Amino acid sequence: MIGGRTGRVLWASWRATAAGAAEYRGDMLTGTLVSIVWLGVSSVPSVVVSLRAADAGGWGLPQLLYLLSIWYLMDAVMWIVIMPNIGQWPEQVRTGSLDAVLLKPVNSLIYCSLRVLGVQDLPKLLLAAGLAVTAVALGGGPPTPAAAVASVIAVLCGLVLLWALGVITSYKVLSQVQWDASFVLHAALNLGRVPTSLYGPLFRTVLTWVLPVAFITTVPAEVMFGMASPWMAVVALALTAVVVLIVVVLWRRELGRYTGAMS
Amino acid sequence: MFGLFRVELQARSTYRAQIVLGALGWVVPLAFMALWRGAAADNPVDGIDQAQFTTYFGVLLALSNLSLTGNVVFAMSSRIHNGQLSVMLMRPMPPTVVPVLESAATNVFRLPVVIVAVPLIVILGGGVVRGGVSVWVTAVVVAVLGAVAVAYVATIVATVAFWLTKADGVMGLVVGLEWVLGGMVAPVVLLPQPLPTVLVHQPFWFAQGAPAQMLAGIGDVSAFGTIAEAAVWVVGLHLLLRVVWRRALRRYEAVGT
Repeated sequence: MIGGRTGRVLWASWRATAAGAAEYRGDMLTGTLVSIVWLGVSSVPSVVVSLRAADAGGWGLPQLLYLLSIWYLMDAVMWIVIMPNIGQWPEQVRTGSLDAVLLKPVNSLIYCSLRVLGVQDLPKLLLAAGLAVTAVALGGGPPTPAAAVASVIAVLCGLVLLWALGVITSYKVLSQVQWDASFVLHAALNLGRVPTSLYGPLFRTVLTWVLPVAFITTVPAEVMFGMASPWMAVVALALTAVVVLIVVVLWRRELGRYTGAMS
Repeated sequence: MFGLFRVELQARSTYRAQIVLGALGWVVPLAFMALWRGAAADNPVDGIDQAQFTTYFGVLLALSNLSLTGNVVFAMSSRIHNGQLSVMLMRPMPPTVVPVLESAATNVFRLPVVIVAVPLIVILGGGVVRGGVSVWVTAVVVAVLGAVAVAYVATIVATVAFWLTKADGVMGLVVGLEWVLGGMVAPVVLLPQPLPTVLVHQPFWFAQGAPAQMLAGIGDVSAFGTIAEAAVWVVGLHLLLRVVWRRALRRYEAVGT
């Protein structure tokens, strides 16, 4: 999907973004401290639940913290990749600057959705990884090596699904400049803060098969602790492949309707 | 002031659909509702059952949707750095009121969504409102006084932008404080001691946690004591803001256009 040329152009764009962000190192330090505080705030419910109750629907502290680490990773990717790129589409369509991006001889979907990095949020990735390792250690590790591998695969699928959800909620802006469905993306991610199994049956179905929130945060955590079969990673892979295919088709169709606005 | 509110209302009426959708997109209390309902599925958690958690987080969903903090705390820095504050200082009213009026105008369009969606969620989740009319009235009075006090806190924190060029991160911590101190992540009575004893005496709890606890029947919240304490906070923070604002304005260099 990412050709050699697209990959090289992306790499050059990321280096340029990193070089620009290097001018604001102090900002990154402050941002990291704030991120640590926010991670602490986000973990309060899991810790307090474990202090006051045996578990929440079968989810103990290690499982909840591991799920939180995955959620935090997704949130980081939201601010590192999705918001700086997809979040800018409405403005780029209005000003016509998207035209210049689309004219480049690279994969337009990949380039439009990945070319800028929110560098100041990169330390969040390390925080998420640190919390994940701590949570897995607290839980006594995965039941089998296959569970760990399957969980990692499911996390990677979750990242792609989040990106796809970002594209799906915003691609319509190419033909309808007032389009704004980003609230669906934010709502979906926030609902993924807790296991989807804790929601009611109707909500749970929606969060699994309509908005794939379950596959973004819950399934990777379930697989890691043996609460779901490692084969769920294969289901996640198949679902991700289907969703990506849909995204590519929708993007191409929408590009055909894009008229451009460059003055 | 009323004229400005009317103008803000008209401006927002153009984007009313986006405001309504924004209200639907705020679901964090729903996530925590699901977590705590799950924890109370077999047995009540410290005497709080599933129905009470549903009501508690339902009320929080309503109050946090109408919270003024975000706009108040973030609006000031851009106005300082682009010089818009200069124009606001020329007007015959405090510039600190403007973000509050803007948020209030937004809330006019959010309110219908909240009035319809929140009771529906509470009913579907099996929530029950405890107490009669007096509890409702007390909860509303405490929530309003708490919201005013929190708006003062947010404005005081927003003045950090007079001293720091990039203060968004520090300001964002106020929102984080609101989550913990206001009881959004968990009712403060469930936090480890001495936090429950301490946290019931601060504005964030008056704005959100206290009314939610009253309507859900969680803990023993003294109506008169809570109202009196919230009122004292409002007066105290008003006086503090006057001092801080004067000092902050001395730092203002009126840059921008």
